[in-house]
Amino acid sequence: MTADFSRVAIRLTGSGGQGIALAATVLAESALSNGLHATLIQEHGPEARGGATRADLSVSWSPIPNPQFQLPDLCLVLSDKAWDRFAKNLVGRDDVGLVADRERVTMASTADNQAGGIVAMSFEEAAKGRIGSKLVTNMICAAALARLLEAISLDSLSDAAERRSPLAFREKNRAAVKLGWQMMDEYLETHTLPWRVPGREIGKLASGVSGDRGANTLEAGGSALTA
Amino acid sequence: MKLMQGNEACAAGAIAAGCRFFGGYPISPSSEVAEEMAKLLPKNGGVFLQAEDEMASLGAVIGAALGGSKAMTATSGPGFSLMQEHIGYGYLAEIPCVIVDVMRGGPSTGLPTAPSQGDVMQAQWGTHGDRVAIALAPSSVQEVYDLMIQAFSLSESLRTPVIVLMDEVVAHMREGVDLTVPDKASIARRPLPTEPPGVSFEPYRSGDDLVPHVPDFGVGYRFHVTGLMHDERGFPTSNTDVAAALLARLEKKVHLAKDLVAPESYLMDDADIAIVAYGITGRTAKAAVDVLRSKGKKAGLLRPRLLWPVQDEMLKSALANAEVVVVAEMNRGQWVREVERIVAGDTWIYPLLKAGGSMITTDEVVSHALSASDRSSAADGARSSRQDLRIG
Repeated sequence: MTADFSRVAIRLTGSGGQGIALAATVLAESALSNGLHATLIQEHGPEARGGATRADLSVSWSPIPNPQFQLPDLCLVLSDKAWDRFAKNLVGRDDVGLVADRERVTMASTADNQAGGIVAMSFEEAAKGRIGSKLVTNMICAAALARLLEAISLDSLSDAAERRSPLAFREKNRAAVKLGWQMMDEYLETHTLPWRVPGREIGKLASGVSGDRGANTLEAGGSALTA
Repeated sequence: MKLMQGNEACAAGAIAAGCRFFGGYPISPSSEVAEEMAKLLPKNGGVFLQAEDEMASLGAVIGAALGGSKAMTATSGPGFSLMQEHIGYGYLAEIPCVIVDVMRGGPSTGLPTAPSQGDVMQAQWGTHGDRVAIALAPSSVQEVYDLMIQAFSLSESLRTPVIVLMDEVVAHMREGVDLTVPDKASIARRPLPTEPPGVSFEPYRSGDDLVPHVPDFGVGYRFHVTGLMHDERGFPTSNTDVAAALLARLEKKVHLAKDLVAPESYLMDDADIAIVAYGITGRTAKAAVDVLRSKGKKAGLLRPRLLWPVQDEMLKSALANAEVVVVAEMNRGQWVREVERIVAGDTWIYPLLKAGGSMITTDEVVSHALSASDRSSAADGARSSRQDLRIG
């Protein structure tokens, strides 16, 4: 019996303090409650307190042998520093889905993002303008990614966000999850995604759609924990 | 299923096993164990003590254990170094306790939050004298929970300190855990004396089970505990026959653990390429086995959960038919020496060693295994060679 090592590899990147780790944790928790397997590893060094940092989340219908991966299927980018460190060399690949904040990532601020393969959305602007706090940007992003995956329900994500929120932020985070979901919904109605979306195939993961993305990509360089 | 970090599962497993005392000094990457225990112990009728340093921490743990508590500490390399003297004391005085060491890059303060498997030899040889360690190495968050329960069972039933060696990745990784609490009967409690207190009572006398039935302090027995060689009354002796017999019994007792912790064996039955790896590297190696199989190579994984004492016979028989043995670990070559000691002369050994704070990748294991396999078939005949690959 060989393990089914199909999985979707999601890398969430940004600057320390943007809530990358919490967004990944909430996604992992809601993946579990939807019957998926999930592993989450993240950087714990000084980067997590200021520099560019990342959290590597894997979700799969079967047990995940190796939590690390070199090449993500989906990569969320919330800062220029994170762009330079994690996303720059992924531009133009049709097998990596780049999702970036339009205002925080310079490379995502141009009109022809689609051509560059970047899905650019105004996550932080929406957080500030529609929820009233940029602190909930991470939950908007988590919901947008979950909407892409189509294997995590809005309700379970909402619940996970609430469980992991401090009391004062429960309502805001719930609203942020709803908003992020809607934003991606609207995007999908009006755009064709510029990349093949391995994540959206997760419903068919058992047949091995995604494969082991860690197995043939040494050129991506570094290891899962320190680049 | 609950999403938990390895360190959180470590604390949950300890509580499930009945641990009611934690003495420690927080240190990355083990700090969440202390944090969780500080939350959980008061709710469960236990005591959390933050000591002034790691020596005092393990001292307090030993005291609590002698008083009847299931007790533990958690630390990382620098703190583990400071604990070595008390670990020897706990072994010779036969005090049950659990010591968690979350390995980070060393030596010295090294790399506080980067992964390593560099304390493997220290776990066995860090304290002086002829002492045999018990050390477990989990590779998933679920296994952290399960092996913590087993660590307490082993330490109680054998009356000895048990070390749980985690790497930083396992400690900080989040995964789903099934927190089923084992039934009470399966969680061992140290054997207690059946005879009443009195002048003829000998706390360190043992029968066929090799384990003395030492009473807990404070229940009416008067007895003496010492780090000096002692007789069955517990009092110091310089009688060399008594000392030799004590060392022999302790070693024989601890070796009982070898039959109590099974390794993970994956596709080993027909494996020409055997990959030996533990902790998080065992997970990477398992993914590599799948890749190698998809390339038509007969690869298998042997992942020991018990690093000390080394399960010599298990390793010898598991690796008997392999043409190539790849040992992958995040250090400059530690446990590979044990594998080499056991199978050298019978097979080729290709260590894959990586130190400096980053994980071994699936690709690295795959390409190393492939080149090892090529080289061994090119050099048919010479069977005792070792070819190292050091990364970084």
